[in-house]
Amino acid sequence: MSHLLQKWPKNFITKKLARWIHQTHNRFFSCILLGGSTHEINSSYLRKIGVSITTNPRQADILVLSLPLTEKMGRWSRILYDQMPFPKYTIGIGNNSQKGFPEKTYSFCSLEDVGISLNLHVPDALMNTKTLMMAFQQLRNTLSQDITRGEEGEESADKTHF
Amino acid sequence: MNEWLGEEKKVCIGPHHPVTRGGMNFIASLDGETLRQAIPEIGYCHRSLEKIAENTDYQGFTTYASQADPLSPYSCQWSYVMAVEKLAEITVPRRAEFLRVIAMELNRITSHLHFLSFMAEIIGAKILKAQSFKRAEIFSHYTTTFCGNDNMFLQIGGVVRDLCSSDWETTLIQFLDHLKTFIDEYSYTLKNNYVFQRQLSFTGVISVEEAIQYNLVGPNLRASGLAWDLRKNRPYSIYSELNLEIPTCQRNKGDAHDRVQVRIDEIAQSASLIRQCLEKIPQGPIQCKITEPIKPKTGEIYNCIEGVRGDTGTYLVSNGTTQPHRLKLRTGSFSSLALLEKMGREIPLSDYLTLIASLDISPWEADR
Amino acid sequence: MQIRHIFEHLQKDLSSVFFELHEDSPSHGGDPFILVPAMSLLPVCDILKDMQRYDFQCLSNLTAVDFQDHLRLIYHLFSYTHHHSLTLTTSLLPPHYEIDSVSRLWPIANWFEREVFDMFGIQFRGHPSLKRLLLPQHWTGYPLRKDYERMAR
Repeated sequence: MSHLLQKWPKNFITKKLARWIHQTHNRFFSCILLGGSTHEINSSYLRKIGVSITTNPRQADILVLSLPLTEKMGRWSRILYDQMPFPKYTIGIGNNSQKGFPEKTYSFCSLEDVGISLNLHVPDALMNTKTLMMAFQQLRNTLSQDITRGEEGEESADKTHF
Repeated sequence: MNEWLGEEKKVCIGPHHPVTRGGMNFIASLDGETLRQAIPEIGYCHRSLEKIAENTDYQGFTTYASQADPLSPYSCQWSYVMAVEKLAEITVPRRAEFLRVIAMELNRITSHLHFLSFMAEIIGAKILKAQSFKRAEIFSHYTTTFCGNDNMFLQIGGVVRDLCSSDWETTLIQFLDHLKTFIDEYSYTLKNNYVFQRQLSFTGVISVEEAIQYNLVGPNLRASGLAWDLRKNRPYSIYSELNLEIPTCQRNKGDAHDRVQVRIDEIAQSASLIRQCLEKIPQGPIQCKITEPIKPKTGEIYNCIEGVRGDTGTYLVSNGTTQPHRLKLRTGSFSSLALLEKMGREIPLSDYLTLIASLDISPWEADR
Repeated sequence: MQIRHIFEHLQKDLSSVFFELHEDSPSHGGDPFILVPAMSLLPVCDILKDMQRYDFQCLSNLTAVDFQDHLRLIYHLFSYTHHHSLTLTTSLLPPHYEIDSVSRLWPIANWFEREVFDMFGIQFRGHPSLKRLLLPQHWTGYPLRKDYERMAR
């Protein structure tokens, strides 16, 4: 690798470009799934696009919410979210994940009450492997755009990788 | 190490744990690896469906009824729809009844295949898990092409869609043939594999008396040795016209092994039911004419059908208006969880996890 | 056994208790049921479970309904030996919503009663641990009562 680098002009691979490659396309994400039909997800497909499913919040980068957020579960997902290391991302799948349920009744709370903000929201979708794969790809794309534009927090990237 | 023994520690198993499938919690008092006591705690998925029913009209709640369980949407939906039809005296066309049975049995196969893959994962048989998962995915594909988005198939007075095409039928029957060989493979592994035998035999034994006392229903009850199936014993819809044998396990031990075996037999049973339905299905309308909005008479009714996880009951009280006065959904997972509170005493922790997995509990159904 | 015969036998076995039988009629839709006074629920359940003639080993459902002026408890019983079912109901008048627990007879009633307590606030005497089941422990109010107002937050 080093002899290749010497041939190229000095500033060809900038720090920003390297970070972009590393963070978005080469990085192996691990995620936590919270939701109704999470056992319908085929993890072997996800592994092919570089995402593994974990149960430990300390190892997770992404929290995927696909559930109607109830009072008990809302508090629990906040606990999970607090334990996750930085940088952390959240994906909401389906309409239920943001509001609660089509009808608002006593047992629901919204994401604002819990204090989690979504990085990506996929509305009008069922929770299945296809939707998840699409969502991860979309998250990667948005992340890569943010980094090239320089909008992603510089400190966080520096801390984790460089 | 020895200092730790003889001293109870409290650990939460869940709500986010591979064995809990969604959200339920077990507060376990552990002494080393032995479980002294485990208290199930539910309500993480409580969506207050019963309160919503009181503010929705009858036709509108059919969508919510399917939300009771994401893995088996038609159990609760059919139970609810049938209760309303009985109360409002609506007769469903014969073709619609056949279509309902086909949808229900397809759903049963999908759910049981998911259970088999889940069970294989718990044991550690990764390849068997992937194989049964693949079949389950294909079946949910069939269900989706047939029923559309899976929460709006049944309606009061009939169904929404007709059979799509003859291609769909032929490919389905081909795949049912293929499924038979897979099931034989799985049950051969279950009988002869050393790991399966050691892990599943004699873990979590439930006797018949205990099962009846705790109101265990469906495949779990049949695994304990009581041949009770609403489709056979109290036939509803068109089940009386179909050939059906109640699948009970011949070992009659009531352990985790039997519970897996009974579900394998049920898959074969459902496959034969689908074949019979496709042969016998008559021509005709799929939806009868109903006057909107539906207004049943004053009265109350308790209706039970054989869902994926056993008897799924709907208790409905009507006061003569367009909205139900009270609705209660009674599901199989609720009683299985109640039994788990009693079973979790003085057994190894790993056995308890296998027991939870083998009961095929869906917390979404239990909390409603 | 039909519900009519069960009722006639019950009257012989327990002559001191007053019953009301509601029957299915064209003007009144739905299932027939037996109305039992709240005081005599436990003795009736005792007989229904233990006597060989009825043999109701299974409590398949337990719920409550709010009729504004009173609450009503509904017990759905089932027998696997005789293949018959029965619906028992009792009425509870305000302000004391209290009744004997049947969890001694049917262990599943333990959880059913906890759920009814959670949603309707009915106190069950002699229940081993009467706590909320579905909602958090700190919750106030009983959601499935008709006067509960917390629909839109």
